[in-house]
Amino acid sequence: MNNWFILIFTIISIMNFLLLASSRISGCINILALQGGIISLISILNATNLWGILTFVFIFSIKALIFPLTLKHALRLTNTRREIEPIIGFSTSCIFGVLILVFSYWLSNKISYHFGDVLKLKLTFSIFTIFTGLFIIISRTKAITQVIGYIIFENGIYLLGNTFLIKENIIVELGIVLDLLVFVLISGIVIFRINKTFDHINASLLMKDDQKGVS
Amino acid sequence: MIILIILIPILGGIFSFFTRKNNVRLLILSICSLLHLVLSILTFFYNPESCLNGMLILDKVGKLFLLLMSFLFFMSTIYAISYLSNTSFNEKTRDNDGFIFDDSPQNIFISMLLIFCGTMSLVCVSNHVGFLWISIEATTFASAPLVYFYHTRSSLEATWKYVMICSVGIGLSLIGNLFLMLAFKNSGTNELTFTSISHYALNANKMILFTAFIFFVIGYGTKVGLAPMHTWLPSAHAEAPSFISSLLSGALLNCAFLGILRIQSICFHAGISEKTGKIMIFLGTFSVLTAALSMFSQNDYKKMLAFSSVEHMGIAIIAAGLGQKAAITASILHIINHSLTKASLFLSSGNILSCYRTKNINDVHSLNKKLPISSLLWLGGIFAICGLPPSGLFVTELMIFKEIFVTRKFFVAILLSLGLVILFGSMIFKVIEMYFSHDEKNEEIIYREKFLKIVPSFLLLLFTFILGFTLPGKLMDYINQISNNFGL
Repeated sequence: MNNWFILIFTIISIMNFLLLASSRISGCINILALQGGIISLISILNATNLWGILTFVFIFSIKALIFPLTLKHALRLTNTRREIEPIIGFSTSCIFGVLILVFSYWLSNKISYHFGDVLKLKLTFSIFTIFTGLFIIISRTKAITQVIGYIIFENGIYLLGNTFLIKENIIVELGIVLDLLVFVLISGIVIFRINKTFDHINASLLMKDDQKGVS
Repeated sequence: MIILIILIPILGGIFSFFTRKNNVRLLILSICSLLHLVLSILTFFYNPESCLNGMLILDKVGKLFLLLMSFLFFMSTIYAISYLSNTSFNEKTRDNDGFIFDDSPQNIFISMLLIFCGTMSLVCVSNHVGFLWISIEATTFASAPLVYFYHTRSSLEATWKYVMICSVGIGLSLIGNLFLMLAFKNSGTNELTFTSISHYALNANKMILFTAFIFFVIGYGTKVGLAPMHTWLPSAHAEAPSFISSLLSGALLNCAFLGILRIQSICFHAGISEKTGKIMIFLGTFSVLTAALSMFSQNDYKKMLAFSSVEHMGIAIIAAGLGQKAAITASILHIINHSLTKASLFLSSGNILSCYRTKNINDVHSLNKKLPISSLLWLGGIFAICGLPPSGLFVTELMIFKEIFVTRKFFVAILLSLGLVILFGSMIFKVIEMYFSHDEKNEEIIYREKFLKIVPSFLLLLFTFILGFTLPGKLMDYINQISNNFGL
């Protein structure tokens, strides 16, 4: 059982590196969908009754189907293909990813000095996923990429909840509420066609070009 | 009764969403806010029972914060009725950059306003760790459309910033929740209500509880507007309509502050409050200094008020982190005074905005001639918020300084007084500019001030000054009881 968990956590961490390195947003969304699908496998490994299987179906449909599909829809609407001017470049991001991994290993050792080895490894990977999400949020400028970063961050929180082996249903219930926020963000993009987020000086770049200055 | 307090605004919100006529909607809004105020006053006389297995309880802090929020909401409603009945909806206007915008549809706006009130009352009554988290998150949902009232580009950007930064903060506080659950895993309690947690707090794993506290203070601190995480606050407060800014600053920040206060109370019971208090004092001092330095170059008078909110929340957090009972009393009193004063100021800033149509301080000239009454309220509010003697903030700041000296944190006292002096100087300087600069063109035109737009701001300011002259004994006893039990 533990081997399966470690396999899943490792695959998710490798995916984090893929997400840090790729500039094509639709590629990012594909990886995100795959990551969501793999994360939902955790709930089926934990499942003991019908409720567990229902949870699996629910998480799978949200993380692997609904989020990626709506994000792709938003991508078509806002006409974005690539993250053109990231604040931190893609190869530098990868190096930062390695640093984050080392940092999260150090942090999880610090927090869980009396835990077992498996738990420590799981904790490392979940903290790594959380920080990867936060890093993507701060280092990218497109609104969609920021939402992708937020979803990665949320996946990390889900992994963390599983690491602590707190009652599954609490994590699922609280996670749903967090998912609602993602929906708000995505629908913000879809409804208002937010393309690029900038600091307050350059607010004109927030809207799509054809909505700008129509008399 | 608790259920009623939450359901009245939410149901009112749903009804007003489906109503066609604007006047009916405004009627629903006023009735709901009046009922809410009456109910939250009644909670002091009839102790409401807990419901949902003890998840919702109105304890002493909750009652106080609920009453404060309900009062502010009522005052903002009075202002909003006058404001909304004069706003022409679905009409395209042009902003300063030549961008066409219209205001958001009134049904969405009023229903979200009422639901916002409902979610804030949910924060005040929730007694469960997860429930508190959900309700604080729900306030973000409900307030996002309120910030995006004028569909301008800058308000869209402010809303995006608000939702994005607060979402990350809320995610971090969920991590805090997970660590809290882990800390209490083997402590002998299965329920995660604040009552049972603080009872079993001594059995909790101290190290993990401390980690949880850090995540909580960062997460909820984002909503409170503590310094490194405060960046959403000035733009959201500046872009929202003025009565919404007064609600955001006067009520929403308090709700998140209540969250931090409850977590700090658990740490207090667990005996690690000295360690956690240090973090709070650091963040608070940093907030005050950041606000002071940002105030220098501020040309927008609504952003000026927003930075002053950052400052006062910082002071309240410092007081809550000192760990003395008297300091917690002072902190809660400070929150009350700040809410009243700041709400009054934002409402009068709305009057100035609707007269001059600009938020830039340099474009506001001879304020006392154009707006005789509002300018008086504005000046009184600015003096009160700077902590000049007759206002309540002076008293509470004095109390907080006394507690800082009692705990021998002289360095904090020096930094804090430095920040306060800078804030006082730059704020007064900017306000004087608004009064005594002249513009030859429009000197004679006097703007007609509406009665309903002045009364709420006047009443709120009056309460602040009353609290400055006398502290009612009953109120003091009540707050002392809170700080004796600290939290519960």
